[in-house]
Amino acid sequence: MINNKTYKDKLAALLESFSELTDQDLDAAKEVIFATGKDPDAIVRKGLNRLEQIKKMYFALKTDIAFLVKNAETKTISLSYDAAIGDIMDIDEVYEAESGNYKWETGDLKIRELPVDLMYKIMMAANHALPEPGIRQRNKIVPVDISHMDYLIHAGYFIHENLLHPLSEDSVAFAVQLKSNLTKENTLPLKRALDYFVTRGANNLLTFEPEALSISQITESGLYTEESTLFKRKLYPYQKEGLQWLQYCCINRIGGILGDDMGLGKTAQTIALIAWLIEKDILENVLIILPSTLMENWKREFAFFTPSIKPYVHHGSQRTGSKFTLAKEKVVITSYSILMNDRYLFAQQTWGLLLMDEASLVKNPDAERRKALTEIPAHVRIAMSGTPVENSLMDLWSLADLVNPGYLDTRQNFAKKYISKDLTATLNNTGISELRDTVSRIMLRRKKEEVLDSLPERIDIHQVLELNPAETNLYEGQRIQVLSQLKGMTETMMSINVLKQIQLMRQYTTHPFMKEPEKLATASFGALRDSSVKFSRMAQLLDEIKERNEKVLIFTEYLHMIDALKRTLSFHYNCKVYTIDGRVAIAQRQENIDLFSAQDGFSIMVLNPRSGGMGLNITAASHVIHYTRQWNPALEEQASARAYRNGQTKAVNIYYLYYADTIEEVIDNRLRDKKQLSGEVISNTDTRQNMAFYLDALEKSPL
Amino acid sequence: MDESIHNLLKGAKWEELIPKLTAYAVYLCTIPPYSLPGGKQYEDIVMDAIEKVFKGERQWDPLKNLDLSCYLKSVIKSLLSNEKRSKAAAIMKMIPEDLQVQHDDNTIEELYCREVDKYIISCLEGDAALLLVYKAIKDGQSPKQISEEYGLDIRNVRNIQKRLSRKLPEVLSQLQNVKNHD
Repeated sequence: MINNKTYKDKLAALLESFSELTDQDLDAAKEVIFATGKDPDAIVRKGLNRLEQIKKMYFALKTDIAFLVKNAETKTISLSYDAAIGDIMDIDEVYEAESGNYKWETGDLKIRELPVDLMYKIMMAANHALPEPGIRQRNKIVPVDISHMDYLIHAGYFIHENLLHPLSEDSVAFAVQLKSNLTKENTLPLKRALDYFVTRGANNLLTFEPEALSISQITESGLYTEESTLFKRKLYPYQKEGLQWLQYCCINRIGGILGDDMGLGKTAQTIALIAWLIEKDILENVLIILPSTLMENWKREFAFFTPSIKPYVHHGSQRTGSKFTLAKEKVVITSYSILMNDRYLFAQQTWGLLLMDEASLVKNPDAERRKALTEIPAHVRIAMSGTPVENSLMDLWSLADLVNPGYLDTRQNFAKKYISKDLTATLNNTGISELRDTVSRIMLRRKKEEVLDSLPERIDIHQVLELNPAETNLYEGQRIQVLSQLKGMTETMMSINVLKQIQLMRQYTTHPFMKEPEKLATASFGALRDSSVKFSRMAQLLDEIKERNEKVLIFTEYLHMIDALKRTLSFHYNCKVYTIDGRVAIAQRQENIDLFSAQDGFSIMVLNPRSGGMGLNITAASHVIHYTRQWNPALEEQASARAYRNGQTKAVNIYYLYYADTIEEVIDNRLRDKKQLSGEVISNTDTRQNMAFYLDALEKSPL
Repeated sequence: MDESIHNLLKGAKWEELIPKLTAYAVYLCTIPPYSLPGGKQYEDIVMDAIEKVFKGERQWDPLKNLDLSCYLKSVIKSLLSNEKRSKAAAIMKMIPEDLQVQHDDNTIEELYCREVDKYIISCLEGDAALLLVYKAIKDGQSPKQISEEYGLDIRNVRNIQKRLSRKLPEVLSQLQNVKNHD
């Protein structure tokens, strides 16, 4: 009964009635507020602000709970909950790899039973969680460097149409959003962190399959046409394609094998890549590992292609032992042997790009240096080798596994699947074509004949080497002796003597054993190789040429050396080595050439440039190695013309091996200068030699 | 929480609802057992109520209670009364049991409300129409019922009601002074 109402009820009814009025009239409501001494508009502003916070906090909470509960039906979110402390210790998804199903972990809290107070704790845990975005590759998740994510997104990887299938638009949006939400400390605000926490599973991270794109798709996409301004030389079209492929590998964290034929400019392509990485600030640093014979060559190549990039050479007894010194450098060069010694030093930091030149040297998966390499953490590994498959398919597995661990399955499974005891059976294996296709996604291999259109017919490769310490001592001793003898001599006397002395020095640059002919006559291939950097490099070149089944001419003028080469190379490479020098009768010379040319596949001919350098036609050979450099560049040109002449159908690689800071460098520079001047090969009549050059050569010291 | 309810909450006209609900809280706090908790303002209580609905601690079911404003008022009412009770309970806990005097809270409140009523009437004296409508509303009659019972035009009743409401803040503030003085 109304009348039986208490005064309290009555007043309440009165107030309810008034509030109805204020419900209908906003001004009336504001008047009531105003009467309490407050500003109604300020109250509205304050209220709306708080409302925004409420929306942010609790919509997220509610959505997230719903999400987690929903997901709990199919997967488990494992919570390590410490009852004593009353806190969440860890949150993770539990995935049972064997059955491929998500399951409840015994003892874990089931997410659907999670009380709200624990949900708060999850939020708190998420608040402190650092996001770890990554690209899910075949067997692992590779973390993505947040600071480079902008570039990753803009570089085209995420928006490439061929990747849109595995990489959904949601994932792209997610990646962009994640990047934009990060604070300077790479942490996320509470709400965002929780968003990330609940949506990361839905987005499957940033999924990626290395085989998604082929080289032609990459180059045709036009996404990677950018070249660095630090790179001062021009690349051939096929090298530009190679650069694009390398850029693609680096951006997408794929290990790759650059398996171009020798002479196609693998070094130039990788230096162009490094210049690009440095200029765009992608991948923090680069570690280049190479045979010590090529150390000097790489230094010069950097100076030639990218003068502004000065690589830090970690070599010799004075090298640093400090990881901080290495960490400061953008490009570090070291050798495989130093890597073995300093493996723990290199393993102390994660390298952006690990570049392995002449990677066929680390093909043996059981070798210690190979193991040392795998211990060095790196985002991207690129192996360079002109001969990725030398002896068996296992070589291929080994290289692929080195750059992309697990890509070709385990060693045992790979062998079981592809390798038969019988070579024919291996070749007939139906899986081989599939393997070729799989490998082609991580290996770029161009043969000379494939890129002939853009390739010069003749490729001059000036390969600078560094004398080893023993060779340096020998050479330097001789040099000082020569200089002391020349003191006080008249010009005529000097010209007679200096030629003789320089001849001696050239012997040392041929091989240190030249001083002891008996030793040279009996030394094994291994002994010759280990005591001379030049011999060692020549052996590497011969390995590659043999793998390509091609023929090579080696020029040296010393008979002892010709004999030593014939004896050791025929044994080591198990093939007949032909020679042409003054001891071979003229009639016999053509016969030797015929036999050399008629031989199937790999074959070696060693020649004296004076006997075999003129008039002969040896177009069966497509490689020329100038082992001992000629003081007269025209003589070398004549020698090269044995192979590079009319009738030659292949591109010819001409290798000029020379030691830095020796008379050979003077010779090499002279040859290059002459070429630049005339624009073509040096004239045969150019035999002028003068004392100034001699003396200049003697000033060069390898120390 | 159901997605549709989320959408309803997100779509509400909060810039109007907040001042209206704040006004309601002001009204409510003038009479026992409703009072503002220490350190809080009227608008804080309103936002606390809104937060509870968002969080789902107070579950709004639009099928049962379509008007969000009405639902929020009930939450505000509850919050203000709970506060009073919890404060009283806290005080009672501080008093040793043997010293506690059993008394009827309702009686005290009722007496207070009677005083308030008397005070309002005294303020409205001299304006017959105001007094009439005040008493009718106080008895729980709606403007329509008042119009029918007293033969007044409904618009007239509403106008009087508005005059009364405009007068009321003045009355309430005087009452608040009296309450504080006590």
